[in-house]
Amino acid sequence: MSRPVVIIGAGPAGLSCAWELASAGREVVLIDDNGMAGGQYFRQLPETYQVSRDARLLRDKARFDELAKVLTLPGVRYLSSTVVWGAPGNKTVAYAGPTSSGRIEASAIVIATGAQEKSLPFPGWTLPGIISAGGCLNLAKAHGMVPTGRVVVAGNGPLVLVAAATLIAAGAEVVGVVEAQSDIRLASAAVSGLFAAPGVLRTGIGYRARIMAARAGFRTGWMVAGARGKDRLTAVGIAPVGADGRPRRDKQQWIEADALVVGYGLLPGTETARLFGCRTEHNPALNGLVPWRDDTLRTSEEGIYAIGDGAGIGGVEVALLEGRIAAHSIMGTRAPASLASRYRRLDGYRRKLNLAYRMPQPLLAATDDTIICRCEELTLGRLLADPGRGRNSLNAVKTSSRLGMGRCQGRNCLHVASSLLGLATDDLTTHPRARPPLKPLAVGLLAADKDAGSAMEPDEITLSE
Amino acid sequence: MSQPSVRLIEGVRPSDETVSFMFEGEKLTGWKGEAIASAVMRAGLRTLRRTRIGDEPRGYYCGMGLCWECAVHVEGQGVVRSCSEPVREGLVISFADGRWDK
Amino acid sequence: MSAYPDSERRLPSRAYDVAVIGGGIFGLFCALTLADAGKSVVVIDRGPVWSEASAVNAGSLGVQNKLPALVPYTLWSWEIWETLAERLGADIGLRRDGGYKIAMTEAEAERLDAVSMQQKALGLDVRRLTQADLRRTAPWISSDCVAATYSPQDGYANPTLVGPALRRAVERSGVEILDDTAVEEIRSGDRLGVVTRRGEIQASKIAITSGAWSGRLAAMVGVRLPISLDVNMVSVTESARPTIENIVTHARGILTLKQVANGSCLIGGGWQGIGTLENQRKEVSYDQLVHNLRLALRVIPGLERLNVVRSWAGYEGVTPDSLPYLGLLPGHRNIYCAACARGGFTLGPLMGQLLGELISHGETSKPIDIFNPGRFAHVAA
Repeated sequence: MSRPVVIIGAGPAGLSCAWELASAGREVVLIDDNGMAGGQYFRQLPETYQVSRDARLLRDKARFDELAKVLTLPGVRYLSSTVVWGAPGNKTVAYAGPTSSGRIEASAIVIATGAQEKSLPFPGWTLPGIISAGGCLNLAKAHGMVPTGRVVVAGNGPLVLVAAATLIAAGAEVVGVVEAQSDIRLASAAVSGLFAAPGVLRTGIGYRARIMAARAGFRTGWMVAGARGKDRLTAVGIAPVGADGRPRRDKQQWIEADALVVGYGLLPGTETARLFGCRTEHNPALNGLVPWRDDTLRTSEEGIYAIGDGAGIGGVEVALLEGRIAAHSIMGTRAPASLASRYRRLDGYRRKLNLAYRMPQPLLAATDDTIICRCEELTLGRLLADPGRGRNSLNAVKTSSRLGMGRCQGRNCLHVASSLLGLATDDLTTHPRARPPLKPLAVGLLAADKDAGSAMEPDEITLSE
Repeated sequence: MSQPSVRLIEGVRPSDETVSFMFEGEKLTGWKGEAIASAVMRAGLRTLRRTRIGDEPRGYYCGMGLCWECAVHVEGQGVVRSCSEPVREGLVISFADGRWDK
Repeated sequence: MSAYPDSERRLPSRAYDVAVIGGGIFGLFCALTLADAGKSVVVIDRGPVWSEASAVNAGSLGVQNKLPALVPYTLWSWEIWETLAERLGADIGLRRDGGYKIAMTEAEAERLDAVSMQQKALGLDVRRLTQADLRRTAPWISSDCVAATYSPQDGYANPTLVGPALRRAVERSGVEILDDTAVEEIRSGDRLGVVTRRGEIQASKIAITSGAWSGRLAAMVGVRLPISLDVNMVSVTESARPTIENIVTHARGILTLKQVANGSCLIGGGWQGIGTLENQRKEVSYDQLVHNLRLALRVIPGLERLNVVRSWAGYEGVTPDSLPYLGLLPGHRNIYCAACARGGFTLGPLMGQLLGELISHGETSKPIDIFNPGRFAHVAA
């Protein structure tokens, strides 16, 4: 039996790659942390829910239904709610999930694990009622819900507008939209098209127009400075972005709000690629740390490919194309010329877009008593005083402070900690390593690994601590 | 309990079948297939977790399974992310963390 | 702003009484003892001090899991541990709640009996428990465990808290610490010198306290110090409500398990990862990690639903007889070594202190003959 291609992540990139491979007769195993395929962009409501034709829910259902047919093709095995937790061999994945835990030796591995959100800690940002932009989109797409009461949407990047338009379309009471970048040319509907459902564009209104039509105050060059509330959010403080990237608190204004949707951009999630030993590099046009790739979308490691937002932020259209290109690379076939040229165009476009949204200075809104590491409850003041900081090493700070050692494994905090602590972000040797398990996994699921090799008990004299 | 912090989008029809479960000692109702976080927020509760050191409230945040702020403890099942774990009849759910000494 | 010396800063040009190479638990306690005796001391480390075995071990301060020859030393070292928080003026997460050493087969139970008799004779408080006793006192331990011994003297300290507190105390006592200063050469003879990548450091005496690396440093002065390398793995879970009240070890030494102050459970037992000193890599072995977790689960079934958040591996240097090296290097009169105790975290404070005593007074408060670094000099490689 030939080895399958293992695709990690069943979002737009992973599904599109699987489609191209499976329709050419290749065996594919799609491993998905989520319970349903689609990733974040194609998040679906529970199967028990129904949606009427005129529902005020912006989504791309028809395209997903088409794409998801790949799961029924012969040769495709789909493991849902299953985590790839380790790299026990060059092209071997260790996976664990409720149905089975084991290893798969692959002919090629495609890492399509998507993005994570960049957080921007500000005083009060841990209050219930404050949700991320992606969290807001998933609230609508995966749960069919919107926040009640007065909603402020704030941040930096295309998702701010996407979230605002989604909320307004769904009938939420959006009382303010705040974008940190002051160049408002960015707010055009066309620009956001990479990240949004085309249905929205077809309405001919576009995001900005929708926001204007809803009379939500739309400000550019402002940012969130703080949030108030006891057990829940009651007010959002916003202020103009100063030249140093900090909010100008002298001009701070408070908006009464029940919910704050906040998103300061997306970052490629590179943990999987790093665990597989793929070389990474910083690329501002791709929104941060990304696995190095050649033109075939192969990483530095033979047989390992990285596609979609996890390899550089580009949104759904780029992800779909990269899935197909990587499939052709794996099969050694030539991608259709139209595919290559469309990819070149969109790839150039997303790079420009990412750079255009980039702030001249990193935004900083945290004060000394602001929590930075949500899991370990570490404040900025505590981290600034940490002795590991003097070593100019994020890993040293992690080791001595417990930064990033909780359940999120640093996904909420490590990226922002570097800039908050004034550490070099480029010196990757000082960053914490990706370690197994890549996501928190129950002892029982890890122990259930049916393909683990034989035990070599420690010497009896070994008396370790 | 205060008013719900989320509401259903017009045109979305959840399952007619409902299930009941316990959350922090309160009996709540969810729709079949609904995520725990969704049912809890609809019931007017915003706090899904309390922190271990500061005993601070935390709620639904990233919505995509990365932040674990919505972690809850389900009896017999351990700590799960309430943003993706569906409610089931008879579940007994409590805050994942909180101060041990309380 | 920087709490640490800038690694590019020029080296101090003064000469020291003692240069300590290796800033782990042995080296820092040695430095502290020397400084208390009025010596001028520099600690030189290839990385940051407290970053290898001392920092990444799981923090057990076990008495039941030590070789018989080391039992008295373990108790003496515990005397240092008991007052350490006060001495350092910092919380070090010290607990002495006792620990269980479990057996899962009759053969293991017999072994427990034999070892515990020996330990009692050496002065340890060790109690033999039947399966029924164990069910009553530690219901969280599986009924698959057929027997156990319990000692109220087992305990735990948090390496992450000990390290920085110890470092501050060492610095307060006037010791110079040089991080990121790899040693390239040791000049022996009458004029001792330590050549580092940042220049040469003069000292009247040298202490090698470099753990697994000690063999390489000894080789620089022509001494063969046999040391093999273990790459021990540890896994840590998310925080959970305190349930596991004591440290748990295994009759055959293949499991250590404890729940620490923040509620996390640490799972180890000397299961081997992959790595060498040459390539500086310490990787988890996926196969052995799975077996380590399976064993933990067999012993404490309640772990099943607890999420593992991180696994890692750390180096440990091991001597041929598993006893530490402590004393003058053979053929030298001013170069010393203390390294590689099986159970170095527990024993480190005493071992470092004894070396400090030896260097400053020429004698030690406890016997150290069995630790003679020259004891394998005649053994062929």
